[in-house]
Amino acid sequence: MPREAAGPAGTSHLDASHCSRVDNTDEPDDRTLVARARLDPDAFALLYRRYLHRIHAFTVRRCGDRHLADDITALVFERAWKNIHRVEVGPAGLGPWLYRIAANEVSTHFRRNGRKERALERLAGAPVSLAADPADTVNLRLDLESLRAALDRIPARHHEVIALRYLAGLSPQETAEAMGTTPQVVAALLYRALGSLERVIGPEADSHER
Amino acid sequence: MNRDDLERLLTELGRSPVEPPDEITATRIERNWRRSTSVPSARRRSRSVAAGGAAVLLAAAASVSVVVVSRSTERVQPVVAAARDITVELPDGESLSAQGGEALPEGAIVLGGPGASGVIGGVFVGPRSEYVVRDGRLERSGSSSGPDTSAVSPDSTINQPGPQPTTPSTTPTTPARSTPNGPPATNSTGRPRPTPQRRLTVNAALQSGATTISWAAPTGSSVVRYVVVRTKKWNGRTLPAGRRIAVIRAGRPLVAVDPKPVRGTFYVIAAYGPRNRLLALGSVAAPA
Repeated sequence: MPREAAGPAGTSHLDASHCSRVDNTDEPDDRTLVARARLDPDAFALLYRRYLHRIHAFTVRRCGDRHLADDITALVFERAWKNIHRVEVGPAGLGPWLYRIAANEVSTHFRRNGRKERALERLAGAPVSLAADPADTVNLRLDLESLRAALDRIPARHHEVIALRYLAGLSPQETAEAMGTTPQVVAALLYRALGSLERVIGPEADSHER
Repeated sequence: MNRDDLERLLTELGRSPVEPPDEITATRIERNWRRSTSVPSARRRSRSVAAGGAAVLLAAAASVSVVVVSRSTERVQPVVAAARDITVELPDGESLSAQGGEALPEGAIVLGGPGASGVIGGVFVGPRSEYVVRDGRLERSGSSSGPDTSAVSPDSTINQPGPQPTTPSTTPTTPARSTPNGPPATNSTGRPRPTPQRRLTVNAALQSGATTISWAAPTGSSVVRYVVVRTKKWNGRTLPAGRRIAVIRAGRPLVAVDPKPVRGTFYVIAAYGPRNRLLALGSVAAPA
């Protein structure tokens, strides 16, 4: 289970601010902009610029392909714009809602495009390099490939909670807000989701080792 | 791979730095969502109900949810659930055809045309009715004749589908809007009504096989240019598609010449202000 203090939400490397926290205090908050965006596309444009990098980074991490991430990010904001009149902005701002759309779009994409697409994704490779040693990088890359492939195979709700909690870096509270549930349910769901992922990724990891 | 490895890997993946999208990509994505329309479900409802007689019943049902949507906004605004032949005059002077899903701001005026049928903010808008948005609700204006009146009326031409070939000299107006160049009329609340599209007084004369069209500039408007179009049909609200006869910049003589006039046609003159804003319209039948 991710720890509160050291968990993904608490990490400093993530795009500086999360959700409703706005760096520039002169800028209107998410709630105000959402209310304005219902009548004014320019207000939504401000939200778009505020969240573009975060959502794009999330889709890149999840897909492992920048071009695909570009397309999915476009779908996310199109869907958000079409449904802006429906959203109820919580204390965490618009971020959780956008991340949830992104997680669902990614999930839908991979489920729709199936195995062939995933194979192509693997050829494209992971865009991240986390390890200093080249050998470690290769291993990590294989691990990330396995991880992404496994994420496509677990139940949608399990994928959603893992994506929101780890890849989007939301706190348990924010994840709960995005999923319309409580942090306790998120914790239980995350435990089961990691179990699902472990079961799926086990054979894949073994096959890589062989 | 055990659970700890899995968590570590997930955490590392979540921490991995990602370059932000370049400006070209950001612009492309923005263009993409801007192209799509907001509140699509309401628009779909609008389109589907605008076709037939059962439209209004369906629209009324749809309006229930639309009103709920409007209540979720911080400031309540009536939302167009369905609209056919309904014009909205915004407080800033802009006039537009009502579209499903649009929220109307305070002070907007809703004008039902001869064939009007629609539901806005839970209120049925019928033919030749007039409403004003007050306190987030549609209030009946005194000058409207009621939603259930006959669809045939000699007075209003603002929303009629075509021009009137026998009209010698222009100005399709409703009584409520009949202020071609004069001061704005007042509505039932006594406040000055916005008259976003003033009516130009236009004349046409046949001379040596050519038609000379002349008109008067609207007072108090910052007209940038006039566009003269010859057309066979006109809805009375917008510049129609047709043969463009002339574009006259403000300050030049307000005269245009059609060297090849066509019998039974109309000349429509549109006055545009800064940022291509339509300020006034006028029309005249081509002289026989």
